[in-house]
Amino acid sequence: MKNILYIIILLSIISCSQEVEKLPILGNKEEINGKMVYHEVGDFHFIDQDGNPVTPSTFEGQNYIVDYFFTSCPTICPKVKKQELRVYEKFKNNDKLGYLSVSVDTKYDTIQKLKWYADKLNIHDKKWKFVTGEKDHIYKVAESFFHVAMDDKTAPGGFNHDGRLILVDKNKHIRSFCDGTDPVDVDRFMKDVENLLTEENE
Amino acid sequence: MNRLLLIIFTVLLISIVSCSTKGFKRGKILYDAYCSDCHMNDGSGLEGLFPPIDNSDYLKTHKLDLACIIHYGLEGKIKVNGKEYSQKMNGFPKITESDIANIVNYINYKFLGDEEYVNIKEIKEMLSNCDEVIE
Ligand code: HEC
Repeated sequence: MKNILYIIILLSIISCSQEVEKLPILGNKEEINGKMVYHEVGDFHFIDQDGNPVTPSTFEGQNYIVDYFFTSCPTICPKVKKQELRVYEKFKNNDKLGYLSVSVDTKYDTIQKLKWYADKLNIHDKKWKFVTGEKDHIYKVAESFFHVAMDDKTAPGGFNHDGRLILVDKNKHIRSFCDGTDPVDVDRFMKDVENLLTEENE
Repeated sequence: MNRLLLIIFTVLLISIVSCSTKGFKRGKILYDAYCSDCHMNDGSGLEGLFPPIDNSDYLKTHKLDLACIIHYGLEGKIKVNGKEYSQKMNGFPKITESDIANIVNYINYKFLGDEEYVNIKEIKEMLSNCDEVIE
């Protein structure tokens, strides 16, 4: 009896003092010449709601959150945007965090339409880019963003319908992702974002 | 004998309790399935894109139009709680009258704090007077 009590106390101490681990780097990794090489998101060139080009250098020295959407989406996109706004509100004053919302509807979502959408969402912030680009390019880049999240490529609708938010750090590594329609998962994601931002401050 | 009475009493009580919440249960399921994508589960809407249902002043003054809005949708500029909206909402012609009643009752109860109960006959009446709403 006494022994069991000891074990329980010991266990609770161990589990209490467990430290928060550094956010992992997600995706494939490979050891090359004794050095770990991690998956990096590919290069991209898009155009944002103000007609400006957006490339990886736009986010230089910044972490950013990526999602795929389209402005006329009647299903899950509004819910994802609602959650993304929650993340945005929380980290609004942090200049080390940007946002990249990529439209998959290259036909309908013109620069003007993206501008309209950003306005309607009440986003007037250079940190949040709503972008379009060439269709093939958008889909190709998506693979490199959603690489870790796409375990089920056969899911109906594919990545453009799964509503994920992906966290990319300033070294182009994917550090976390969540289901943008699920407030609980987004809560966890926000903690990951917080960890990444404090990790970098150290 | 006493036991039988007790059982009957219990069954009655259970059926009364379950009946009075049942409509909202189904109404919630339907609302979450058909409406929450745009208006959100908590009825808060999305900024300037989708108007809120929760405490909507527009809905409070258009309560009798709700069945028509569900069936036919809504188009044109409207103002909800001080904000303007102009995107088109498509209707849901496939939702049956009894399920419209379920949704309406759930919305009235949950988002307008109104316990008033609307039945299918009243929904039918609302739906036969949709002309003004559609314009
Ligand atoms: C695809 C998005 C979408 C879905 C799904 C949707 N709506 Fe709407 N709803 C809108 C838009 C957009 C408007 C604003 C229409 C306008 O500006 O004329 C609106 C307006 C309304 C309004 C009047 C304004 C207000 O907020 O009080 C009500 C009531 C309403 N919707 C109820 C519903 C109900 C009930 C359902 C489910 C059966 C539903 N909507 C499903 C997009 C949607």
